Amino acid sequence: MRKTTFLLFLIKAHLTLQSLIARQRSRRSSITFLSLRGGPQDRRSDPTGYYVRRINLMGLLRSARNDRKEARNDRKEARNDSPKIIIFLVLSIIIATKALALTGEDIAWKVYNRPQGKDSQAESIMILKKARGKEKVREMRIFTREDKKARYTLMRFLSPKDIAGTAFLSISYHNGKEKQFLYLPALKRTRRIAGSFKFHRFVNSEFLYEDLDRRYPPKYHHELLKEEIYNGTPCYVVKTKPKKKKYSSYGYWIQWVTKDGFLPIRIDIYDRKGKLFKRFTAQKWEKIQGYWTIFESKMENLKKKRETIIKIEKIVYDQGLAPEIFTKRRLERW
Amino acid sequence: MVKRLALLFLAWLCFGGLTYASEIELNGRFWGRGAIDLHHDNPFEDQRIDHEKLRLEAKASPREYLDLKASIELDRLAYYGNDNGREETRVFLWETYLRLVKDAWEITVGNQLIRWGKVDELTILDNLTWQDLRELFTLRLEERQHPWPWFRIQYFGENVNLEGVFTLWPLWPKRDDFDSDWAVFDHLRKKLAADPVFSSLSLKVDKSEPSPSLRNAEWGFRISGTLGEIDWEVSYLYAHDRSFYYYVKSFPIKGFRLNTPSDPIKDLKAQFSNLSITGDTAYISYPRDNILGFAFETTYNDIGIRGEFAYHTDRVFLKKNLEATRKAYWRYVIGLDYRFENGFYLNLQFLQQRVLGWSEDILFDPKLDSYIFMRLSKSFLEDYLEVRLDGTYGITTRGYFLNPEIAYKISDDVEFFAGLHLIDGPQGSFFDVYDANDQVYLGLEINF
Repeated sequence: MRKTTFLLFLIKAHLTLQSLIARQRSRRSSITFLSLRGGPQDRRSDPTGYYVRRINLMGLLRSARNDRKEARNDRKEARNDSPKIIIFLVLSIIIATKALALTGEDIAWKVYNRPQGKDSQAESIMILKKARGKEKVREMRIFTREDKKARYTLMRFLSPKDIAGTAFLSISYHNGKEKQFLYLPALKRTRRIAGSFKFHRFVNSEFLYEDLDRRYPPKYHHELLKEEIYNGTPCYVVKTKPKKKKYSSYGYWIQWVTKDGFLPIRIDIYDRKGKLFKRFTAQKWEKIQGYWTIFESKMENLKKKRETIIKIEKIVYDQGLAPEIFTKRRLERW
Repeated sequence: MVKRLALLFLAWLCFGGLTYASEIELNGRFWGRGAIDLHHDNPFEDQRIDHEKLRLEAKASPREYLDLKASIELDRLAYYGNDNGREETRVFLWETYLRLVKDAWEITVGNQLIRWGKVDELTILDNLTWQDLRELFTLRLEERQHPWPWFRIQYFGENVNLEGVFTLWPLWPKRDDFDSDWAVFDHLRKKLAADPVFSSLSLKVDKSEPSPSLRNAEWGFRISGTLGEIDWEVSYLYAHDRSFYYYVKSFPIKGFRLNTPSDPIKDLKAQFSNLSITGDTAYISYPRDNILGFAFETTYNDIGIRGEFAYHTDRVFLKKNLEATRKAYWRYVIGLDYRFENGFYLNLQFLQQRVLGWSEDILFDPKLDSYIFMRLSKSFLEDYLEVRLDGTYGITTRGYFLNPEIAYKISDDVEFFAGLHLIDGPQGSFFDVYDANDQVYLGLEINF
């Protein structure tokens, strides 16, 4: 869309310049024409040709005078038009630059479509820190895969014993639809997670089920607030607000997205009353096998003074994971 | 004996296989609960019940295509009353199986917990597990289910999954016959012995338990898949009757009609002149049933919706003369659950059942019966504390069972819980039989 607008401006600018040039050329040729010819009535009334030559000469002189006048006028016009052309060109450049600059929505799409490998397998730990300093540690294995239809994520908890075997499968279709399933080994059953569960804490952490969604951009309003250096990293600062209440339990959030890689490295989350109450920060990130990866991140509940830290201990991309891993069958094989 | 030998062989195979596995995962669980009766209104009732379970399990996947699991459980149930208490301790194999996986196929042999159906507490298709009903429904469904030896074969297709199950060992729920508050015949023997009119009358039970054989085998199949946003399954099971009524072929007291199930002595006295006592043995058998089922699960507008439908060709019902009959019977359950933004979780289930060819002499079950089940819970103190209320209400019979409970985790793997079991129902109803069994309990669960 932005590129089309820019092209239209270029074409218009070109046509405008062309018409200016054409005018200039037509004036010069009319001067030449007028300087070489008299009118037909002069020839008829003067068999000797003297009058014609005289008229022609007069005509020439007259036309030369006119030409000079016209040329002076043209130069005057050109002098008047030059600033306009310059202004027009400068404006075109500014508009074109703006047309090519990213909007909040563009950035949201870049984050959504950020390359995360054809697949990945990671060993992670989740540390739940309570206000009184108590800690709980959860070990988990995370598998991801992406194909033309969807992005798949399977998380299996390995410890502690009370949740060992619990597994979460998320299927995020590229058309924005999502499906989530939870396997509970104590029940030996897989459950579909209804939308109402998304607003609740994932395994008692500070992450909600909705935080595990990809967040399909058309469901939200995105506004680029500014560009800023955050912790030495150039970032876009984007404000995102759900278009409908049912899309999120949050009021809105502001995220710092790296310019290189479109990685959200900080997200300030505001509740529906506009109060800042949670903050996600990436503590450590680097490129692994060409993919930007957040190795350590923290979600802080600023109101209740609790935090959840996720650390990836090991990750491997593009191993050719089988699609069968991301099925209910595999969830229940424990 | 055959079953024990087969299971021991399987256990040897699984345990033996595990010794060769490089990575064995060991787990354990202790669960204990002590309950005290709230009303001391019966000289023979159990005033205290203790139940403890200790489970040890090991599992490994020594090969990509092979899963092994072996576990044992020690179960102790003790009753204490005014007279002698009694205790029953058993050690048995828990989940002990071998699973082979090859492409879209899986074969699992051994003691397994197989769950069919989609609904939670009021499930009607979940019939492949052995249920410990010695404390009836005061244990949650997952707590009273035990694994059973099945041969299970599954095929996972692109759009549809197929599953077949087979067992040589006939399956029916476990209940106590006598001498507990939850037994089939309650404390009837002791009450008869203590009554001056009926003291000479004794009662015992003769059970013709079918032995493991091809003739007594059970089998079934299930087809399942997903259509859009709906997970569905269709199943058939040829099994022994799964109801908690005994199929009493013959009751030794003829001419008797039970009008006050909570006090049969009262009815015996009132009808004494019409009674004909033919012996002292109630003959129990285990008839067959065919169960056709359909289940689905979906979500709609942030609500989880689940449903099951079952048709039984020959379900056992108790008659007022304490003998049994078998009738065709259908029932369905619709359930939904929702989690509110304030943290409350609500699970509602509605069950309706109809006895085809119903007759007036059927005890407890009206022609059309409806129940509603509700579970309401909320977590506090950063999810360390959970407060929960389970309730079942018989819309037709107007009986109810309430179970408020509070659970507190002192660490990830240690949880205390405490609650109440409150039961009541109008005279003549099933809930009325257990009206005097209201109890308070305290328990502990440790995972290691």
